[in-house]
Amino acid sequence: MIEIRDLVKVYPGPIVALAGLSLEIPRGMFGLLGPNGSGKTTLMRILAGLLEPTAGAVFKDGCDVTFTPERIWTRLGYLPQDFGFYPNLTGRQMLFHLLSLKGVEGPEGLDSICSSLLDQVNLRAAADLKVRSYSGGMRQRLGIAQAIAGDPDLVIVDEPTTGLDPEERIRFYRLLAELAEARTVLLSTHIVEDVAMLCPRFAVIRQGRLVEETTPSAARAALSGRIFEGRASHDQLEVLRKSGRLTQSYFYEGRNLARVHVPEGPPPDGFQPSPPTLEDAYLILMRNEVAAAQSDPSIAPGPPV
Amino acid sequence: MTLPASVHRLLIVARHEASTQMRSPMLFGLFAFAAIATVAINPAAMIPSGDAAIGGVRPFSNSRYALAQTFALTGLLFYTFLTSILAGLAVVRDDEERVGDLIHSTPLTPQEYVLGKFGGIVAVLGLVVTAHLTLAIVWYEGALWWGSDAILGPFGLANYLIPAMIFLVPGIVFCAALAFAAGERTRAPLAVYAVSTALFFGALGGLIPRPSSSLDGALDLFFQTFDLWGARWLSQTIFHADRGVEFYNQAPFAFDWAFLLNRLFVAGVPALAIGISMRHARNRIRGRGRASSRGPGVPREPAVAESSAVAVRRASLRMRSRPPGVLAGAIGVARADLLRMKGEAGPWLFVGFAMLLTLESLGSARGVFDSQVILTAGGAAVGLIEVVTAMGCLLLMFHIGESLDSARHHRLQALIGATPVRSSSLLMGTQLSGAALVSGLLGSCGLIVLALLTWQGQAPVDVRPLALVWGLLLMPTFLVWSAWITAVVAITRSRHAAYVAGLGLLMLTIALTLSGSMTWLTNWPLWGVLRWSDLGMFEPDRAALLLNRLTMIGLTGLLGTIALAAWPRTEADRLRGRGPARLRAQLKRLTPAALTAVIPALCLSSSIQAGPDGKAAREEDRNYWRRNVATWSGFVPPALIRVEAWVDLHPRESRMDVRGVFLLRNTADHEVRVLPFTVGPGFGPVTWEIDGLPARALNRSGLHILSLVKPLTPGGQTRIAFAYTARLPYGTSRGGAHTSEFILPSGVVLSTLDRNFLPLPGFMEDVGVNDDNRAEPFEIPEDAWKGTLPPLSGGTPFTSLMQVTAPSEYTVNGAGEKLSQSVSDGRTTVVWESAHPVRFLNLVAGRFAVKRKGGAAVFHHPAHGYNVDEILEALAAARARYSEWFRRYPWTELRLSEYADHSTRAQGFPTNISFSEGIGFLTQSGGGVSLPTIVTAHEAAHQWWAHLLMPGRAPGADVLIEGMAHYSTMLFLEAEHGDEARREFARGLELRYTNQRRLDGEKPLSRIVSGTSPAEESAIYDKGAWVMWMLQQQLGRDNMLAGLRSFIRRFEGSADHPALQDLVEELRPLAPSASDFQSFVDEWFQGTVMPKFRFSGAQVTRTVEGWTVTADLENIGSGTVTLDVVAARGERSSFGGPPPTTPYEDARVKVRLKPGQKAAISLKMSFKPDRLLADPDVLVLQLNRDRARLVLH
Repeated sequence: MIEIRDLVKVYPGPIVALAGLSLEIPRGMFGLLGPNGSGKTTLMRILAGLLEPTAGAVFKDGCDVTFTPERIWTRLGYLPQDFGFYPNLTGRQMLFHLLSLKGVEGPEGLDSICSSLLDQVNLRAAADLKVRSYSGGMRQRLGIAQAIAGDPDLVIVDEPTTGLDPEERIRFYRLLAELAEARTVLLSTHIVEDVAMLCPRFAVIRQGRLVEETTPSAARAALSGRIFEGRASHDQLEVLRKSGRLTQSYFYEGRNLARVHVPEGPPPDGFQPSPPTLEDAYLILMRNEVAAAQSDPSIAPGPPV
Repeated sequence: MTLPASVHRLLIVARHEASTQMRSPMLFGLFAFAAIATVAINPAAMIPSGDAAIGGVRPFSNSRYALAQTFALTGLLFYTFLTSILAGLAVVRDDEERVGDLIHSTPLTPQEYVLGKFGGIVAVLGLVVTAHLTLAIVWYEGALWWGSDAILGPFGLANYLIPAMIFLVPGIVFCAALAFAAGERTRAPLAVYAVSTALFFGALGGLIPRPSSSLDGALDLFFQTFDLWGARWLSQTIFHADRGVEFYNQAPFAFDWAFLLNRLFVAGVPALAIGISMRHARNRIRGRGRASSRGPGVPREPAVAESSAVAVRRASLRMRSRPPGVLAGAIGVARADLLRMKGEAGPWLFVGFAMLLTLESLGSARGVFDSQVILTAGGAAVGLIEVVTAMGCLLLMFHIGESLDSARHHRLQALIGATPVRSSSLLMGTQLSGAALVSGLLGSCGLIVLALLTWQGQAPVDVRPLALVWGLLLMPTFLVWSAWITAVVAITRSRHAAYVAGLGLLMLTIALTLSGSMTWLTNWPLWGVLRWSDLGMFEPDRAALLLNRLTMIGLTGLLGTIALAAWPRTEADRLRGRGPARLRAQLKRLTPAALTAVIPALCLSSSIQAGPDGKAAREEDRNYWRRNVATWSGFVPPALIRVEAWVDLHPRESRMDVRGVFLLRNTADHEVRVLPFTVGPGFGPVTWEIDGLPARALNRSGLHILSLVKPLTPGGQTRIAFAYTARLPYGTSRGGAHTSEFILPSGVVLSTLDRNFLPLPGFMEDVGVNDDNRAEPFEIPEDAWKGTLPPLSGGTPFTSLMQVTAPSEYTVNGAGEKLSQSVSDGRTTVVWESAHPVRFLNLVAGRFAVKRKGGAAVFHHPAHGYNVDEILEALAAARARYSEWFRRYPWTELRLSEYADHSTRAQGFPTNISFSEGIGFLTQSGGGVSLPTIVTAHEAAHQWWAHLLMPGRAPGADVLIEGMAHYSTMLFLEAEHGDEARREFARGLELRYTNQRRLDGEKPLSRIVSGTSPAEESAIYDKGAWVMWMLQQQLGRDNMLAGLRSFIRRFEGSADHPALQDLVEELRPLAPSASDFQSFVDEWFQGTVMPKFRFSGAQVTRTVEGWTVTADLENIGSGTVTLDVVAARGERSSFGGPPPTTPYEDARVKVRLKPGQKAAISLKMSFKPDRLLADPDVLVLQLNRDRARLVLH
């Protein structure tokens, strides 16, 4: 289990990236949801031992690892949001290099492990091509391969499905789910659907603060009977947006469809009840947070992370 | 006014590039270097002219020529690298920042992009040059304000601007453009660095004097073309032959066509390079030309396993993760590094260039007097240290910088940082990959050496010296350098800052080396400090070498620890701060590492302090002078009439135990009550006896004063006995100084020329004298030669007996005749006696083989038999010839003994010439007049000129020693090898003299005192010989030799010692024409004339009888001379050269020319001549002999 206590990170400026975050991340899949600049990547980097916090502590299975990241690295699989590879190396060579840095070993040898991992991420045919010739999705898959190598008991993946097509995304989700059965997998994303699909528990952070920690079903249940969906014209959408009741709007068969949150009272005309989604819950949470921040000046603006 | 859109876009790019470069550490480094160059370089020192004597004419610091030379050298040394790197990385940087797609998807065209980038670079470089010029003006013009002793002419802004625009700016633009084009083309930083390295060494190579070879024409053209900074043109055209301070101070620039064409080339190439870059950028960006490197998409695999199958497969791998060990991690990093560079051109360019430099250095390696050396593996290994360390360190610096930064700019930092590999592995891995690269470079250079050794076919092809020197000795150099660069990168997080720091350290090292300030303590690359000898490796400072290497290894550890502490594995929180605990922890880590460097450094420092260059020794010498100069300067000790010495040599301990006896006679007309003796700094306590009774000496800082119980009456004699133990060398030299006397395992060389062997009677005037207390020489009256002169050196001659013991494997040679030799208990005892009086004694011992012939013997290292036969032939022939010409040689045998090349010289002591291996044993012979023959003949001549005849203490006296020895060599070569050999030798002497000659301050031969400057040394040796030869042409050979014989007879053994004027007077009666003789003496002994000839108006006419050539010949120099003028065709045979393919014919006429006089020449001949020559037989000393000719058409 990962325990985060009152974690603060302030960059010179000052820019507050994390404003006293406390969280417990149990074994299994755990999602971290938040908008861009909410502090997710800062938190990921601190947990991965790449960044020192300004205050607070991180415990892994009861051990303080805040300033001894080498204790984490031995059992960590990490896929950062922004990464690259040496362009002149082949996929196989690059993976071999990273696995040897990780100290991965097995009875069949590292070469065999590399081949198998490349197979698992569907890169077998491209294994001996130079990384510079890889597409964005292929690079992402190579990154995934190195993250799942070894026997990590903590896997941190930051926006992992960037660049993956839908089929690859599903494969990756299966892989992550399988991994989560026996270890902690922390999935940081701004795609609500990923959390809905994969995570039994998740946390929402915004401007370096924990907004909510809950489960998808609980989040949805809290909105039961209060979400309505219907068609709306442009003007109606504007009215709904200004009223703060609009949760989502999208095109469907060429027409605007809107979903609104009505805590009490009748819904707008033509709107029918609709089962709440996790997106509805997330967006409502964010909206409430914004409103709370606007009324409470002690909540500082978030960092551009 | 609205700019066209294209220009507007170009300016945006330029402005952005300029603002980016303004923040680059390299730009600050560039300006810092330029500022240092301004402050450190004295422009007046760039002018190789002037009179250094007090009140002499000196060059202006702010003349055009002084500033031109300054800017040219500043450009070459300080601008080349950083300008090239700054410009070359401009496009590479955009690639690394991945802005290419964004930029090129705008209306910005590739041409605008290239021009804009280059324009921005030129703009910032222009700012640097402007700042540099401003600083130069302020610093040089304001010199007097801060107490400089610079001499300034009138201020002229043009004096600064014109040299800057002609010499500095074109080179800057050239380097920037070429490097920019390389960066744009290859997008590989290492390729840019290789180009900048090539530009630097290419320009530097043009300045290094090069011996003549068959490649002269091609090399000249190459270096002339790539003379980026104009430094070569200045050196060869303006400063080569001294034109006098007046010229350099006042004259405007006079450019020749070659230089103008060069400037055109240097200015034109940048335009071409940028043009090519624009075209290449256009093709690349628009995807024209070669297929895109992306290639077609990879076919997709079908969707594979369900999760359970995947899970099963993963589980079957049974992977686990264990932190890799330090070495395993490092090897992994190194492997990836090398794989990364596999396809890059950069490392190959470096290796290729290093091989080229190696080939060039070895091919042009020359010994003394421009002699071609025999290449040995050890000599090559040591001789190439500067080349391989410079190239290796540059390659390492660029590789480490790129490698440590590669994770950042390939965005791998997070992936790698989150693995359990240790930070030390990450850093060490880069060192390992760098080591692999440098090993490849060294191996390639080593192959060149081995190939040349094989081709040479003389010295053994032996890889061990290369492995020892480059593999073992240089390893700490590369280690400490790598650690330094790594530490800078770790601390600054910037590879560019590391390049500035690295280049700065290299510049500092070069400056320290050139200024002679480098010491064993600071000599991290071992430049100029190692000497390889087959007689004994790395002597005499072996202990210093070991301590130096240990210090560098310790420093590597310290810098490595600092690098590790600073390495940004985890990004530290700046607000949290260091804290005392953290500092304490870091200090705790650094202290043991620091100790590993400090301890050997302290040992080395104290060893240096205890040595001959240490504070104590210098203080003792200063005290010697201070305490004794007033009392004892000018004191003439009683004459030494006999020396007896018993010397036990212990070469392995650098020690000798000495007992000796001096027999002295008072030749003065007054009593002598005290006797001063100078003892050597390596002497232990000395015990004295006077006439058999123990005596106590008053020790005045190395001058031992013995008080005589009974005063020594005029004509009386006394026996002074002494005993001591001495070490030589004692302690460690400061920076590997050359030493000509030593007791070492490789051999022993000692003499009474200095105070290291035996005590010397009297006070030594030059001990403890430096620039602070050096006085100008005593002004001897012009007619002093008419009186009785004391000897120039060595005191009165004495007979000698010397018994020497040494380990039995050593052969010991001394002065005189060998009386006996025996071996007992592993030691050999030899007794030498000279019944014929000598003024000096010497001792040479070594593990020798010997060859004898005709009263001569050569003692040599058994493996150095290459030139022994030639040396022996020359020695025996010289002994015979000089005996015939000058005086019978009074001893049985004339010996020559080899010693290790701790000091490349030869010295002719009575009967026993000491001869370093580098001055004749390891030089190429054949194909011309060779060094072994010349030096042997010269040193043999000293048996007569210096020992049998010692000149008096008067100006010009050294001409009677060195000038006469060179003249004797001329005679010898003519007699033994023909006039071709003599001509070749004479041409060499003339060239050396005219190159060294300084117009201002040149003294006539009769007023020269040796040791003041290279110019005066050359005048004594080379001009002295020439003047004697020209005098012989006037007198006739037989008359000249007869005069020399009578001269020696008159003064040998006399209490009066001759001056140069005495020789002149001895020869005067033998001159056919008294007036001509006097004119010659006035011009060549009392004056400083130098003829120079020029042909003009030549016409070749066909006549009935054959051909007629008419021309004018003018003496555009000084001095009145008579010379032959010939019209010739065909080739003349040259000594040792191939036979001429066309026979030589000439028609000649004698001409006498005064200064400025022009004579009409008319020559008739039966053949058609192809050239006119002045003085074809090399009988008249002149300037620019190769221009005193005219090709006829």
